Amino acid sequence: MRKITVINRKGGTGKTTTAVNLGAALSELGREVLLVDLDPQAGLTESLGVETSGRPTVSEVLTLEVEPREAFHALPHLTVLPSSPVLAETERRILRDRPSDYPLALKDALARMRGFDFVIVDCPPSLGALSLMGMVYSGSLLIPLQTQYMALNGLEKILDMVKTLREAGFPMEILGILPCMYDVRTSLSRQVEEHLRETLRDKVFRTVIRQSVSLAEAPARSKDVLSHQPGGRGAEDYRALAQEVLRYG
Amino acid sequence: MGKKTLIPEEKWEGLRHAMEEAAGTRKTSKTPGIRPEGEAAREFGKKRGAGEEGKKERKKEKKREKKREKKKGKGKKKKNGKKKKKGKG
Repeated sequence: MRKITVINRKGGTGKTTTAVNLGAALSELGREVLLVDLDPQAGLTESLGVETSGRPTVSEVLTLEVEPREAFHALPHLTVLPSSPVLAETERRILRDRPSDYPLALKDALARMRGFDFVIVDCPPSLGALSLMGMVYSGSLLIPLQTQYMALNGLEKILDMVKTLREAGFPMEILGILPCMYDVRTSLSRQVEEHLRETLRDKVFRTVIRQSVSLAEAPARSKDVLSHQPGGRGAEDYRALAQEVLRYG
Repeated sequence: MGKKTLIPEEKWEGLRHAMEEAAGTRKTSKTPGIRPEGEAAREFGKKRGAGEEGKKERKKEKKREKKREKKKGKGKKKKNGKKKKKGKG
């Protein structure tokens, strides 16, 4: 079972879009995929139209009140462990109850879970306790990065956190940095991508996620981009990313 | 004309550094070559000290002892001399 955590402390970089559509593309290639929404804003949950009222979510799984399977929501091609705003309170509770080992909360909660080829965790736009849980759970990070100046500051902070976690004894690897919202018309996009590859070399995915209307439209239809517009630019890019992820093993 | 740089070079250097540290590939030792590590390094250092500095110190101590002995010897003679003078008078 391959675990991947999609993380960036900056909002709007394409984390949720990447988690959903990478999951959908891997599923299209015949892989069993679980998407874990670890963001109290529940963007992933909402973008796939998962209804959570009266049902257990990732909050109850983290506090070990229910088995993970009880909170799963099965879609035709994906399984979702949904989130809700309650997760913000759950985060505080876990910090209070497990002050010394809270980063292990998700790892403990999903320890006995089987039956998936890929588990993709979508983190909130911060480096708080929930993000640490996501990082420690998988130990493998996919960092979507807008091809803009401000995004580079966020990347440095994440890399610092990775170093800290490694030094604390948690195995950590950067699966790859994914240039997102790439606008081929702007020289800034081109220059950031070019320099990223020069600087970080094999840590940057070959795939670039280009700016695309279909990527913005799909969540409004409660769909992933491969279902929404299978022949579009967004679907094409995420299929290429899935192939690349499979090549890395 | 040269290419206009939109993002300063220091920014990229900082990123390179951060990535090397995050990936654990940054070289921490500035001096190349194989050197003993940990306990072995400390023992290595101690032995070197015992070999070179120890000899020098032993030589210095011998010299100091000789000087002390000479001084002591001179002092006693003087004292003895005074006493003899007193005894004569």
